[in-house]
Amino acid sequence: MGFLEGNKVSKHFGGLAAILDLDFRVDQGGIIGLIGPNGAGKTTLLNLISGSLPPSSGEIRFKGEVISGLKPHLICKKGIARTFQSVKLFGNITVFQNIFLASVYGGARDFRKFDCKKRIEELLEFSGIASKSGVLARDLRIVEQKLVELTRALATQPDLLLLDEVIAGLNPAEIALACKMIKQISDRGITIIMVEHVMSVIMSMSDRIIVLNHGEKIADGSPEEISKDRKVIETYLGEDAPC
Amino acid sequence: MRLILDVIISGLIQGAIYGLIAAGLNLQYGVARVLNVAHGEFVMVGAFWTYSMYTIFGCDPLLSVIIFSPISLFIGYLLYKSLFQYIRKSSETAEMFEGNSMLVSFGLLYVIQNLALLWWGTRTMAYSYFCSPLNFLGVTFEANRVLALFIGAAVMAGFYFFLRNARLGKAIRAAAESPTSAELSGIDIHKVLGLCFGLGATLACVAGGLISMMNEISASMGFPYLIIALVVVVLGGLGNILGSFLGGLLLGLVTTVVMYWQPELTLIASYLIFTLVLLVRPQGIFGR
Amino acid sequence: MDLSNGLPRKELSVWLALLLIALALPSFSPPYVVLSVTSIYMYVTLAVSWTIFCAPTGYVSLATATFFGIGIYVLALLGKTLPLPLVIFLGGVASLFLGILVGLICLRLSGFYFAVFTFGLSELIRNSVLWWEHNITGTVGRWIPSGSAGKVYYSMLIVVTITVITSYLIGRSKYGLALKGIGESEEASEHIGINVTLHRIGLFAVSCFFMGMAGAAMGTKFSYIDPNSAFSPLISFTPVLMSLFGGVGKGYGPILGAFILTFISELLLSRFPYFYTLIYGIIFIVVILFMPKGLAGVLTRTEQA
Repeated sequence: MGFLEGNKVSKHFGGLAAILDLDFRVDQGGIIGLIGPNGAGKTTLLNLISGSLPPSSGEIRFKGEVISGLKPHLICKKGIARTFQSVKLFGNITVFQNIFLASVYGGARDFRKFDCKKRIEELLEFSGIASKSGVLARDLRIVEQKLVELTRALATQPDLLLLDEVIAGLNPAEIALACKMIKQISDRGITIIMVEHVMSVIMSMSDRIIVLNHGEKIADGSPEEISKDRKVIETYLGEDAPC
Repeated sequence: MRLILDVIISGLIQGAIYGLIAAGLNLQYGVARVLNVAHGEFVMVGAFWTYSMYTIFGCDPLLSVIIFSPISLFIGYLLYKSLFQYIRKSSETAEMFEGNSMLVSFGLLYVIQNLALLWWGTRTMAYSYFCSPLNFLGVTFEANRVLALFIGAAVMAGFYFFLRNARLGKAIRAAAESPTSAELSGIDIHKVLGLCFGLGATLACVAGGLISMMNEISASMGFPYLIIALVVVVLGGLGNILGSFLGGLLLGLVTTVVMYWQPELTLIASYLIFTLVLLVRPQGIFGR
Repeated sequence: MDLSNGLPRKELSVWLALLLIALALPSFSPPYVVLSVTSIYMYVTLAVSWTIFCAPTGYVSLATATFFGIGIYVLALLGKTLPLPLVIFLGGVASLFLGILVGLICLRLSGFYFAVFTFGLSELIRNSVLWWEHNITGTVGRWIPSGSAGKVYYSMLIVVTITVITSYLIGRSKYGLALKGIGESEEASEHIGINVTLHRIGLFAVSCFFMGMAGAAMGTKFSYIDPNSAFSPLISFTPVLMSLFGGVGKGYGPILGAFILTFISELLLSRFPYFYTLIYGIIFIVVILFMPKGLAGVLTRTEQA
């Protein structure tokens, strides 16, 4: 039984195919990088997996169950969480309340109120934002907001975490912090699929990389294989050269 | 055959009126984003103005309409500049602006209606103008109704060409599509929005004048026309002025047909169409 | 779990004091005061139940009249055969079920379209009931088993108290928090496990429940009811005005708004029957211009100053 599988997945918007006949397989554990030029369909693929959009055709399975076509809240309860390209926090409530909602609604079923506060505090400690617990989410800096969104996703106790350009807009020190956190999350056993444009980060962090272009998979392998793949190099000619 | 023609032409006459009023509301909400619930009251004011001018001064209604068009434009413009622009500036979000401007227009509704009641009382009034029977396409109508149809159609056509070709018309269309881009391309957005609001008020007053030629009027006649305007705006598509004209004609035809068949179901038919369109195609029959 | 600050003891004692005064009111006031206060309770109930749904979600519902009117009709149909408390409850239940139905149909419409749809639906129902009574049953309107002023007063007092308490509890519960989240980002809410549709429909149904109860309770004031009064659009608009006037940002906003506006309109109606809507309209315009966040907005600012 595969962990995450996609079978001939397509997504059309009007006449345009954002994803075309895509087959993919992700095994449990590790960090999978998802790269490709702008418009390649990376965010669309994340949207299809997380349930934001239903596929036009094809099937996505998670732990053996079909999840394509399910609403996001059901997919969340099955163990998939994500962050968004533009941070979608609940700005008018506190950081704690943001995490609380995710805990209560997305967490495991046998969750108890008593554990809740402790668990949330643990998560905040892990992310390093415990001091901002009572602050309104909209009053945070961008890097803190991203950390809150990441923590909020973790609060739903996912087995698979989808990260959509988490490090965009961060300075080098913040990027290093984010990468450290992502590694720690992976060490906890959570499988991660991350979409990124910064090549150096993807190359250093991923165990495996999937490359998309025009909605199709053009390469799939280890970072080393990808860096030598001719099709990938051609795709990126004129853009960021793989390092 | 004659009956069919009678129904169709009656429907078009009614529809032309509806189209004018709806286009006015569409200018005010679709473009200037002010849901002016007092819109119906402008129709009433137009009707009463025409009535008073005729009964007191013997002034030809058409002349009255021509006289008060620039006046109503100016008053509408002033209202926007004084009230709604202020609200726009003091509102933090678009929703707050729409909510608060709707509330202010509620206040306006109360004020205008009360003033009308004080001035003219609660009775219904009417005047006779141009009501000799006229044979139009084989069916007999009162001349004023045929006149109303032609004037209504002329105003609609004129306005449509204005939107298409005149510089101000194009500015309005630009503002309707994207206010921020319009502002960036050098258009004084507040002036345009103010004019939109004024034009909307003018269309309502003109329609009111035409109505007064044909029907009885009363101080409380405004609100039902507001409702009809809303229905037509939804039918034709929010922001689509031509859609409002066409939608008005369509609704006029449908309601007239229902009225001939089962008069009690007229309102129900309107609301039924309204709710169905919203569920099936909320952007309107003619909307994008 | 305590998500926000609990009700401070001072505020709680104010509310309790008000409740005690309310309970004792009929014994020391003339009948017309009792009737006026009953009206105030009705508008408070409608404003608060409207706000329960429309404030956190940002929707504007103009169908209040429908759910209120159903309550009255339930009273008309069952009032003679069942005890009043049960009838009031059933009025709420009937509205609740219709609310679920309406919610399923139209909650996917956005902003403006939702508002006009609820209005159109409300008018459609009113005209349909009118047509039905005219053509099918032959008589327009029904007789209602009416009650004494005191009975109406206490029924309405119970309804308004339950409504306000429920509104408060929802606001403080995880559901209230989830609704705030849904209002800010529907997508993010879905992705952390919140079933947005269920929450919206559930909340809408709760809101309708109280409107139905208000209708059934208030109905005993009239001896006769017809569709035009029961489903009057004014019943849909007025609570909206009151809630926005009082300010939807704070819990007491709609209560304050309903109280003050009903009071003002009753006052104006008796003193200046001819200028009543004129003065009302002017006050309204002035308040909205200078207090865009409603009265609650002003009070919050003076608190912070």
